[in-house]
Amino acid sequence: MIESFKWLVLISGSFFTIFGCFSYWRNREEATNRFFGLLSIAFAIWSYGWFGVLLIKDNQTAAIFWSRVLIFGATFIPVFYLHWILAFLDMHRKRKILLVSSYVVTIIFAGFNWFTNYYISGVHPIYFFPFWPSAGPLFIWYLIFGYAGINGYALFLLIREFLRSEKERRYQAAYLLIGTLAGFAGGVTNFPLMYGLTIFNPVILFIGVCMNISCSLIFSYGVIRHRLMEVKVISAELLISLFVVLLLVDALLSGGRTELILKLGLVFGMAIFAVLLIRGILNEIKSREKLAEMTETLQLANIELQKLDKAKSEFLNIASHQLRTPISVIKGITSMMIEGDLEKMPAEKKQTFIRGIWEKSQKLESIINDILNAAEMTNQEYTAKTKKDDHFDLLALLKEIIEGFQPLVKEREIDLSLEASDEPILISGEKEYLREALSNLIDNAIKYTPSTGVNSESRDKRGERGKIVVTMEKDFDNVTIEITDNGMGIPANEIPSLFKKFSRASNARNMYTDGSGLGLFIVKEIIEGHGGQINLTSEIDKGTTFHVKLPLHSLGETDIKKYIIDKQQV
Amino acid sequence: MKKILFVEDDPDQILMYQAKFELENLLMIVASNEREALKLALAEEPDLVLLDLLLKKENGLDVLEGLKKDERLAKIPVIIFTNYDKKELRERSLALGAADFIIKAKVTPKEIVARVKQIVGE
Repeated sequence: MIESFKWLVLISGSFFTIFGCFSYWRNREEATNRFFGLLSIAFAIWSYGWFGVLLIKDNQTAAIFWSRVLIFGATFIPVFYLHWILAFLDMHRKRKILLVSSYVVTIIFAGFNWFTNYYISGVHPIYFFPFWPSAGPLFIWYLIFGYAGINGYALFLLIREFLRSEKERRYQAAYLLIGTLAGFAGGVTNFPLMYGLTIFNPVILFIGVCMNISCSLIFSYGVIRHRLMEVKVISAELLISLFVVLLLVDALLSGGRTELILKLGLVFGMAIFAVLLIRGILNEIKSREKLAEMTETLQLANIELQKLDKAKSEFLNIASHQLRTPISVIKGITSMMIEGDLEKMPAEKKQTFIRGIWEKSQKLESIINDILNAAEMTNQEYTAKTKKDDHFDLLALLKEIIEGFQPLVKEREIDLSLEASDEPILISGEKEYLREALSNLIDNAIKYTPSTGVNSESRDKRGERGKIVVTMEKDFDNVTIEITDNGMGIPANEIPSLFKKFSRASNARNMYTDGSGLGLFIVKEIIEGHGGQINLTSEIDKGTTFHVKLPLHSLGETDIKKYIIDKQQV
Repeated sequence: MKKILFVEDDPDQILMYQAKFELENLLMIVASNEREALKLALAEEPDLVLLDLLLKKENGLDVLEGLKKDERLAKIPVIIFTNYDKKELRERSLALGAADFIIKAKVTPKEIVARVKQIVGE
């Protein structure tokens, strides 16, 4: 029985050594490779320590030495394991304090192991083993801190990752989880014997060591199957190198010169073949990885397209509603004219109907313009086309816009005022686009401000007269325009989607609008196309303020694009 | 004279259809929200309800549900009269018991009057 144990731990040790060295050597840059390498070496030291202990029959000092070797390996297993799992989860930089303190405690334990008898107090015979390490008073702290504490925490992180992640990542986490559990179970069978407790009989002990080996096999399978550390390449390199070395030894041991030359030729040929083979495997792995990456990108793009498609059809539904509403009135009134219905009405009513046709045609035109502008701005990112000397007075433009809204605000009994110094504000930009943007913002404010003219409900409720204040201020480089209303306000959850093109599709309440529902999207495109910024603050039942900031001096087209990109990255 | 309840919040449309219905000897009463619609339906016992689906802050389907849930009102025929043409809305409206689903822009006032008269049996 002891013989089988001996060989089992030796095989396990060799396996860990080879695997650890190669994974470390293969890609030292990767933290997962580095710490898996170190973990494998710790496992290997533990296995060799066992081999040493099992080999000795009557030398107690040597048995204690090998016991310290095996416990030295075991002491480092939890901390390397933790570091590896944290690297796998990409958390090793965030958990620096935890890692440093774990290393410090581990090194202290290792020091006690080598230089005192508090960690390992000696050896004792148990079952058919002549020597088995005896735990010192401090060893229990390793079991609590390292074995249960650190391993337990790493296990918790893995379970969490397994539950949270999907696809490949989930498989990786599952392999690591099963491997860890097997390793844990293997370790558990060892420790009671160090306290002289014969809870587990030698058969279970044997199974325990097997589980430790299987733990590493499971890790390897996870790694090979899911490309954690290119183990397929590592194994191929290992086997081929071994084969080449064997051939070389055989060649060097050969009798005659001709045989030596022939065999060296064979070694050379094999070496070239090995390099080609390994390169082939590497290429295969790379193309497989690339394919997987592309598939994932395509899947994501497909999901995005589906979302966009859904949003577009929603938008079409709404846009068609907005277009049909004025059309139904125009069509209705004109059909009544043709059928002679209007002739039966008093002149004043007839006039109202004809004015209705005019107003609805205007509305229709403005909706169509919005849709066309939005389409244009989507197809080609809008940037203002301005020349350096192409300046105009923004204050004059704003005054003109506000003047244009006076009949409407008068009808609705809303106060619309401008607060700005009289000094002209020269700005370079596309005047008509800026007119559209500022008009849209003021129009929007009017729409959502209490009035007695049309929307009497809101005034009754709050007993407050509608008020819109537009302010304009200039500093060295920019002009800031603020449009503040005391309207119904915008719910905080609706603000982020307000400037998006299809935002109205999100809920039924938002579908109701007189306009195209594209106004704020267009405003944002125009302001940003001039290198400016727009945002808003709002409070329910108190009102909303739109803040617009525009650079006074023309930015080149590239500057604006760069500015937009920078802002998106922030 | 048959009484029609028009649930609509666009003043221009109210004006136009009211004028046409009056010329056709139909009495039109108007509600602009769900509460008003159910209240008027109970008080005035209309012969038919013409219901728009997009009302300010409200969904016309809620009005339809409210009408069909109330035993006293469930028998009143309801025509969904909207510009919001969506397959699911059409199916849902008919499943909830609407008599018809008509797109405003596709019919003239004369045609809607004819359909209303056909349903109320005039």
